[in-house]
Amino acid sequence: MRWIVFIVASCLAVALDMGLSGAMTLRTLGFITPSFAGCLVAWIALFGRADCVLWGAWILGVLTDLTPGSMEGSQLVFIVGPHALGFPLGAWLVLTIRSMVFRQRVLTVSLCTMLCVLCSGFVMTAIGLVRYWLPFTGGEVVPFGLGELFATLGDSIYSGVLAIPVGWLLFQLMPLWRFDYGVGRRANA
Amino acid sequence: MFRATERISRVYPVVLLLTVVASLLPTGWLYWTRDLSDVIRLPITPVAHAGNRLAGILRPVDATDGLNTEDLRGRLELLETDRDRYERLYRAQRLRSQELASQLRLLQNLPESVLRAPRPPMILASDVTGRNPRDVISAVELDLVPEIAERVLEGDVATWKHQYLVGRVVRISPFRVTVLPVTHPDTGPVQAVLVHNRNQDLSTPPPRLLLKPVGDGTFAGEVNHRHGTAVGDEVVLADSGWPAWAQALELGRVESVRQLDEAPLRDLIIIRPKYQLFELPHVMLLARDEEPSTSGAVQP
Repeated sequence: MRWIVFIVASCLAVALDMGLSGAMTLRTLGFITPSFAGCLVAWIALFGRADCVLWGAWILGVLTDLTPGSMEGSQLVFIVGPHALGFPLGAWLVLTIRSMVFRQRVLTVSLCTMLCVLCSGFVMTAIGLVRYWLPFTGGEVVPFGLGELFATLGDSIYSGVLAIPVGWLLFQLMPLWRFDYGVGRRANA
Repeated sequence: MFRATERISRVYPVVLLLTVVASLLPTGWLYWTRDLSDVIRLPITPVAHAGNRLAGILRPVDATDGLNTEDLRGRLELLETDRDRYERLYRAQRLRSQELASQLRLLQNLPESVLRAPRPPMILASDVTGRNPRDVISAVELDLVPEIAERVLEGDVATWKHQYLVGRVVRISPFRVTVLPVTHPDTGPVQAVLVHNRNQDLSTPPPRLLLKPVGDGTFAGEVNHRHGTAVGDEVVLADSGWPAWAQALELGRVESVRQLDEAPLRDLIIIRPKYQLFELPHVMLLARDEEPSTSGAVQP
């Protein structure tokens, strides 16, 4: 995997999550919003080498955690962890199953995106709950709970839908990435 | 099939462990993340800025409420007439308040410098460069142009269309301005005044109430039941803890009214802002005008 392409794509994905995704938010359905970063994690997890994938997922997670509104504490600080742990978890799951799926299908990218966004959402909820209950963390302003889990589920489904055009675009740009891992289902067998 | 031990650096689990520790650090130990965020996001912000502008075009906030061009023209004429009328009233009230202030100074033997009307604020437009569209009460970041860097201070207010109070500046870094929505619990309770839509009687003082941000983008407050609060009533800021030029800006409209079982003489009202900070592509910052030459004050 070419790291320079990954870095540029990461910056673009995070920027789109900070800006353009606001136009896609479903405000009447609990502010469900798709994640471009989730699409990118699923993409590299499907085709990248395992170590590159995990490091890439962590880097992208840290970048996402440092964006505004991404689980800020009560004093407007950024909490590094929800995505920095959630994206590697999602990437690890995709790495585990990728030999069993048809990777060169847009639908596969879509399903893997749902998985990655779901993982990051669960980790975010778990960290939110732990921070809420731990006496020394300062606690978040809003406790995380069941409603947050439903919102995460909605985010993951919506991100899966977004991953269809994004995945198609990424397939067109595949030569740029120079993945050194096999790209076919059989190549990984 | 991928195995967890496959070609993974030994450093990686340590990094993940450190990340877990960092995610559970007390909030007071995480101030370094602000600077880290400022530096890391330098290449991201311009693209995010463009994305926000595009989002503003694709999904405009100030919809025309289904009015056609002819209706809008008629509404504009009506608004211009109203504006001229209120401008005259404003000038008359300024003259009256100056007269009262001078009488009070005379009676209380106060120096000339006190009880002066506040200078009108500087109005600075700023684009939103970063926001979290998932979270209705998340802070947003604004573009830091030189004019804003020189003028805006923490505590200044952010408005939408000069009428709606949407947030307050909480941090100014060398790269961006952070604004917290007025509905964020950290903003704290605000004092407000309820303006009845149907009762224009100015002789009786409007009911005051203390609004507490609920955490879901609304405020909750209690008001005397006999005031007859109705859904749709307007609520405006009347809090001395906020800048003088922020007073009377609209906070929101009454969304629901419920008589309290435990205190039947009081109503619990929920107020929802018409515009939330996170959905706006740009805002107007009202900053303190320190230079006399730049003042746009109305001189009666």
